[in-house]
Amino acid sequence: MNMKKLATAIAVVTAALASPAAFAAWTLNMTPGISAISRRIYDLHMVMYWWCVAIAIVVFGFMIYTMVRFRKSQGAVPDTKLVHSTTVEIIWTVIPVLILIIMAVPATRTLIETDDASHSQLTIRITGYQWKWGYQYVDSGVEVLSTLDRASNAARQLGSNIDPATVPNYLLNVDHPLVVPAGVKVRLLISAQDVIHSWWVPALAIKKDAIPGFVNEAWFNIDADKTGLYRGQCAELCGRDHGFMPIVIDVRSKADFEAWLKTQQAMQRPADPAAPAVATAAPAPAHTG
Amino acid sequence: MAYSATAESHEHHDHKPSGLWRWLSTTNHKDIGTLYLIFAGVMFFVGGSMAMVIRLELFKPGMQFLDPAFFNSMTTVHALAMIFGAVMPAWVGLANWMIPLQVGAPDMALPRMNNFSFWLLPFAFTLLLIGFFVPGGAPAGGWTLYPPLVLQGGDSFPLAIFAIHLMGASSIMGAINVIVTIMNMRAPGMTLLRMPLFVWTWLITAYLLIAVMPVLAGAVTMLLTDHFFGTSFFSASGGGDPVMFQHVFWFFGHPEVYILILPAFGIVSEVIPTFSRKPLFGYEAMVYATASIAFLSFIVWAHHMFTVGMPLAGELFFMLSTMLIAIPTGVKVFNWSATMWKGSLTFEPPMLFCLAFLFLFSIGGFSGLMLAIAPADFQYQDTYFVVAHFHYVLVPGSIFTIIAAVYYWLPKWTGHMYDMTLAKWHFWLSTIFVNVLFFPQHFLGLAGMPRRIPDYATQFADWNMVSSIGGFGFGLSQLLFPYIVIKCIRGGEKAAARVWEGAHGLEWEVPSPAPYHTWETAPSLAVIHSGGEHWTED
Amino acid sequence: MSAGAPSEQQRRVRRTTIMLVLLALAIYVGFIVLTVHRSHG
Repeated sequence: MNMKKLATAIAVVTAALASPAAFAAWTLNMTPGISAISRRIYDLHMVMYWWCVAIAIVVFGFMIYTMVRFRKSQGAVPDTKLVHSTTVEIIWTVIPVLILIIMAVPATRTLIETDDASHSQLTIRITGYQWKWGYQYVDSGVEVLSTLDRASNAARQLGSNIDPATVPNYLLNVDHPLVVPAGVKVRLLISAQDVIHSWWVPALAIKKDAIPGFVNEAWFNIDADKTGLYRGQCAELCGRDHGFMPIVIDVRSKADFEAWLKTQQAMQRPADPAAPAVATAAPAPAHTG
Repeated sequence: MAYSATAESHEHHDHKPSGLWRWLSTTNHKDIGTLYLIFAGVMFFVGGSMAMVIRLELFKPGMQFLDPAFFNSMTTVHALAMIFGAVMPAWVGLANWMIPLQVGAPDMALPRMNNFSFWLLPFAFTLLLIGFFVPGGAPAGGWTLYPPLVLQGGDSFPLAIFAIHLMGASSIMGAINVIVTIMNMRAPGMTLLRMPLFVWTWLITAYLLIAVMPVLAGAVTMLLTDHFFGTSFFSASGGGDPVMFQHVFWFFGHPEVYILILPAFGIVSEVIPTFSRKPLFGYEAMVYATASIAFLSFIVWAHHMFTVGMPLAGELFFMLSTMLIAIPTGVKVFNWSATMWKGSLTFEPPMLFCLAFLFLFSIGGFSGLMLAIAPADFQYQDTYFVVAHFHYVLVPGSIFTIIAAVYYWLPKWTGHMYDMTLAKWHFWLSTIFVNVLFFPQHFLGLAGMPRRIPDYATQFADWNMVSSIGGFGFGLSQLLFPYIVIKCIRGGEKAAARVWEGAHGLEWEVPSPAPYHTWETAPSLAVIHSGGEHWTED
Repeated sequence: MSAGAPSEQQRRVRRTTIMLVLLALAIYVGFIVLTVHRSHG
């Protein structure tokens, strides 16, 4: 596959940021992700999946056997007295109840775990706009505005005649990613300015609605060895360009992250301490609109 | 035949106005049923053509044909047209045609209101579709109408709100008519627990409609005042609560999805016994399971909102209550399977569509169970996994059973048999393509593709292309349906009164085609007992 | 409806209809009141 080769080539060129999340085409399943919680959720998903497969084999198997065995064309004679059986009906009510209880236990446990955002070491405020994301590191005041990258934006215009396969990470690339540290419990405070958005990064198994007038909380703690780029998208219909406000997180080691944050602080502060400057130099993130 | 004597003595009642005026002024339940079914068919193709446009744009990555705003209008109006224009009117049409026949009543209890509730619908959909030609374009905020986004809508916003009000009024009137008919018009001896399951499921559906359509009406009224009269129920900028709208909407919305599927359970419970030549297994359990599903539908609404940031206790409650739905639904599937056990099965088109329902609706049920698991739902919510789930329960669920119902009763309505071979082609093409269309969408969702996006990253290209091919195939195969129906109306082999060998029920006691007026004299107890749901007991 | 229907049945039909209409109206008004109360109270 041509485009896959190309995507791989580009990933190699941008070696420093080489993404382990390079997607294969014909993907069938969810990503296990890069944190303990995301793997828990993946496992839960797989457990549910295998239960469903098992139930399907039994139920569909019974139905298919019935359909083959009791064909009129094979001389089947109906047993019109077979219309009720309390025993059987109790059995097929109780067994599903038991299966549901078995399913509910790990689900409840995982849910409680995802809810506990206490003891975080870093807080990032996320704001959804039509159609971009604003990130603010609460303690240091560093702000990042993250929009769809130019190449994707040019290619996605109606009649652009640019083949999306030639654009690296088409529609999943931004100008300024959200830089986060690995191995640190990070708390997210998620809100929106105009309409409802939803901040979703599959690798973190976090999807949380960004709602104007509300502040939602989420948290993650990425494995220390899972540095790299991970991509997601807005998941709540938010108007015309809902499909064009991706999310990219740039996971760095704790030391690299702190160095980055210091540089940003230095770059953003002299310009205007109250509201960081518009259009700062090169890789610097811009203000919030 | 018990019926023919009375039918002939009432022949002189069959006068009716001719031409257009007959259809505008009719209060006859069969005419109104026909009108509803034709309307539903037209809206099925209107909504379906929008789905074709959606699949065309999604055929490959890059924006080829549509502006993103128009794409959003397509998904929004496709949903509204299919839910309120195709599936609900189809069920009301079938209720109109069949409930009086099945309970031995001469007509619906409120015939003039019946006419009114139908004729509201063309006006409602004219308002909705006019939206495409006004400044700002058709509604594009999703069928769920979430504020604040929906409040950004252009001139089509008030049109859509009024359209929803009219559809709601029409549905409530239809539901009142069904309940009043079933409660008061049953032939003597047609006790509640002798009623066919289609009547039972519709009775329960009608109560759901009365309980939740006013809730939707209230919610959209508040949207209207937020937009035009300066209130701020839901608009965050004025201190309103956009999440409150979602709670109100889904309090309507979840029972609404059961409104779309419960009558389908009724149809399957009629068709499977007929073609198994064996009474329905566990009739009373089926009634109670339907009632439990209806009850549960009122306490699970927030499972559509696991990502809005509910308190932990709320998420737990809605996760566990949602899982409970699997129990009565499972009971129904097991009962249908047990009905076939030790039966004598044949595979005419209505049976084929119901068997496809059994398998494919169950697949939708499995993904529904997965979606109930709140932590996993954080990954599924608003992705193509959800799109696959609800299309599996709505297309091979509701729409296949509507088709099954038409193939089941068409000879009764027209007096002719239809082209069985073509109908079987219709079945096989629909069943194969519906899976090509929707199964890959599970993969897309799990791989991370959000729903309601007009363009996507290149790693989603392969499955989208497969899905689009399935979509075009499914859409084209549906053209067989009106062809088969029209051909059958025009002529064909004469149908007997009891069209299917294993059919039992009062509708099969009247001639085919059913005369304009039926059961003006209530059926005798003997007829009810021999034709009723419990026919083996006698 | 056939002209010969007994008036007792018509009375029952009317009674059920009125009750259901009132129910629908009560839900409509009740839900608006509830929502206003929840979002501003």
